[in-house]
Amino acid sequence: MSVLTHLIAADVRRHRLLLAAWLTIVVATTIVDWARPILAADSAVGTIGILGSLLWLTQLLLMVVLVPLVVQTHPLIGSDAFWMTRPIPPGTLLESKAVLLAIVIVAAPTLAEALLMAAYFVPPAQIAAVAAQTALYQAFWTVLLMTAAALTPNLTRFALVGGGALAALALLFAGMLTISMMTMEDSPPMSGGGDTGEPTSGFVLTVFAIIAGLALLVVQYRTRSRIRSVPAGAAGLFLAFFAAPAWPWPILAPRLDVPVWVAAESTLRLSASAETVEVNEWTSPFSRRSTWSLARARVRLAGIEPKWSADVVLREAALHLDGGTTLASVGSGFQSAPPIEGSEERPTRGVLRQLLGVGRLVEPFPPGESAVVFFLRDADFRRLVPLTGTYRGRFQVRLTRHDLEATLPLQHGATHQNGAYRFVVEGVERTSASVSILARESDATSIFDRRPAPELSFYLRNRRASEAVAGFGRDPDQGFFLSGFLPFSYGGSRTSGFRARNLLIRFPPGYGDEKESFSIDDEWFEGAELVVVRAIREGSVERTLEIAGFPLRAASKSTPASAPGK
Amino acid sequence: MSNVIETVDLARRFRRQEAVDALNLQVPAGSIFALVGPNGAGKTTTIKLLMDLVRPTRGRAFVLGTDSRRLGPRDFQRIGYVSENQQLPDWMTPDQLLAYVRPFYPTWDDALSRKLQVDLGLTAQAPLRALSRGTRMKAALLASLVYRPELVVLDEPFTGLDPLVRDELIRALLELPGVQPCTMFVSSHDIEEVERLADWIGFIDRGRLLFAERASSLLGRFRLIEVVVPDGVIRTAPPADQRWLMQGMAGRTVRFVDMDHAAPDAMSRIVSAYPGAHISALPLSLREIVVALARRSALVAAPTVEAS
Repeated sequence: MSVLTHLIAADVRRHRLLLAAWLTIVVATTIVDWARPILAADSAVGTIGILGSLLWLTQLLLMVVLVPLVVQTHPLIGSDAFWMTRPIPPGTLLESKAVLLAIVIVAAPTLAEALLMAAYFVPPAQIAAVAAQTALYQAFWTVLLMTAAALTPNLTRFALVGGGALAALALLFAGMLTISMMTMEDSPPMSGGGDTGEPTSGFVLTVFAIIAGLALLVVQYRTRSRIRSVPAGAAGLFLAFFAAPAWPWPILAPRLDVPVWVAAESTLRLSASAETVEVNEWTSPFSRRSTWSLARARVRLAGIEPKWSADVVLREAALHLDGGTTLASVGSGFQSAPPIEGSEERPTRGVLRQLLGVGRLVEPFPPGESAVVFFLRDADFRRLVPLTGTYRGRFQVRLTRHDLEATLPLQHGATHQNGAYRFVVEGVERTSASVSILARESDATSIFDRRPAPELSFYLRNRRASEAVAGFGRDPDQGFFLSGFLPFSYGGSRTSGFRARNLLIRFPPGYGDEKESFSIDDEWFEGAELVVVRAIREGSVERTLEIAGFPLRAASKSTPASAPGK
Repeated sequence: MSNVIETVDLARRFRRQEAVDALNLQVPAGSIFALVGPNGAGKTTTIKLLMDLVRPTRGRAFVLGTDSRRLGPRDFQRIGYVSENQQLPDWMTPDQLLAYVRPFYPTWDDALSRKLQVDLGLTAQAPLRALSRGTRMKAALLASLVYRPELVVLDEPFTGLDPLVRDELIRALLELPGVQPCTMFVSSHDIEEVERLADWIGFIDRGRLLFAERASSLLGRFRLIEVVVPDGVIRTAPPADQRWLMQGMAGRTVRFVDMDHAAPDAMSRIVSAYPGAHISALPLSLREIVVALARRSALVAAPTVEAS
């Protein structure tokens, strides 16, 4: 037996009860996570949900206790530890801790999640990608805890330092928020309006943070001197924070399938009539005073292909007024979904109606809205009103492709699988005017997929009646609300990873635009089927909007504008 | 290699406290060196500096020929270290402790291990935390001796132990050089604990080494001088001599310690100071010598402390 395995074996013997408890919790959590969606229709689902949340909390606490205990079995602080005068190579000791914790804290939950994914028929390649992501995040948390443990002599100090660090962070955050709110100037919004999430910098930061933590550990094990190890780790972290945003190779940037037809400037034309322009006072949610106004116009989009919808984001704009004055927009970034030319309805509505092949689509969303096209100072507005001029604005036109993901009969067991995505109808319930579908949905995505995350929406369609109604899905058993942000969780709030959940979809959704009421009767229900639609944002192009005779005039009603919804 | 341990101007400061100050120490190979001194004198810090458990503020120390700051696993395979403050893996039983440390030492001697277990009566199979202090020390000592280290470093190993256990441990240590030549470096605040053991004595106080020499030389050099002056002669304190430590005067009797009684002129100096007096030179125990030196050290240091 080598020194490495000897040290690992000694640590395993020392912490056998805790390790066994940890592995039991990992297995139990996996079983509960597997069973929860399957027990959707069962009355025990609530109990299982609570049990799952408790197991998750226990697992988190065990991790926070187990890592420091394993590390501090051979303390690196102080001068009285038994091992310090024994011929134990510090590098081998660190290796033994890292290997044991990698197996227990990183590999075991990752393996359990992989088995869970296999039970939900996730393809092996996707299992590998998600497992790699889970392992990366688990490694990050493990290294973070190991560094804190290596810098403290015992669990009490570890808890004090950890609690102190959390409290300091909370105080710092609260202080910064308070100061920024107290001193906040009434500034116009500026935002990037990027196409899709770019995980590369987050990934690079995570990897570099792990490396910085390992560097601290190596120095601490070699020197047992916090004066040397902490600066090494801090320098690594400092470099990571600077290197991640400046990382030149977008290795994980999603590959966007921007259609060829958008290359021609004649497509995706933006237009707006000067008559629709109106200026409102801008009310910032945090500001004590407002010195800004925004101009809106009913922008229309033309030249878009079937299956595609788009929204627009203001990048920059200039207004050449008749008196010779030129104003540049002082704000950018507002997003809006302009209707397609010749229509007043929400742009996706027409696309979906066409995709579903129905004449009527009932959905709870309001019709198309005015787009923010310009931002100016109140003082300029008051000085220049009621001048007119020529407006020229650059917009980012963000494209979304809509496709039919699945068409399923309304019966128990109806199943759809596409790659890692799996949808199984568990039950269908009729009330007097509505239908509820209980389904089990699972999916596995990772930062390594290099594809934008799709959004799925659900419709009940009756081809005979040429009608469809949108549904609203929610997980009846959401679990603990923080679980999505912390280790070894795959809750609904997480943006990637493995997710398996119940879905209760109600048709019609029961909220939103009540003007278009819809009632599902027996005959309509008989011919109905469930349609799942997938929407993927596939990049963007830039287009120019020009408005001649752009008037600087106040809105007809004095309704102050607030931040438009996204 | 003549010296197993050697320090050159070794110093360690803890905030404003100079725990060890300009320590120049040589421990000859094969010796049993006792570093004695009062509590807080700097014994433990010296040992921690030697074992690279704390880093020196200045100066250097060499242990088995290696700079103490570079002591590595190969060096620790040649060193046995036991300290009263050591945090033993107290979840282990004595057997488990031995099994745990065994693979780290190529020179591990199973036969010696069994022998020492029998000699020390180390049969308890409860975790160390449940055992008495004496049994824990036995286990620690056993785990530091059975690989036949060239250097055994013991920091206050007998503190708080009952005389029986202390005797067992000392016996085990005394038998060890018979098995294989080794050097022992033992610290203690009580000379009685180590006088049976040590052939070299070093005395440290306030971080400074006051002397370090063979025990036999110390015993030969120090004498308690008792002077009984004749009737009618005025009794006086001994004249100022750096080698004499005044002990007291009572009636016609003057008592002082001669620190250099092995010198050829020792008696003639006393006779010339007290002509016609009855002079007797009594041998001192190591304990008495150390106490006398400690008292002298305190007297010498007192004005300095006030000045600072």
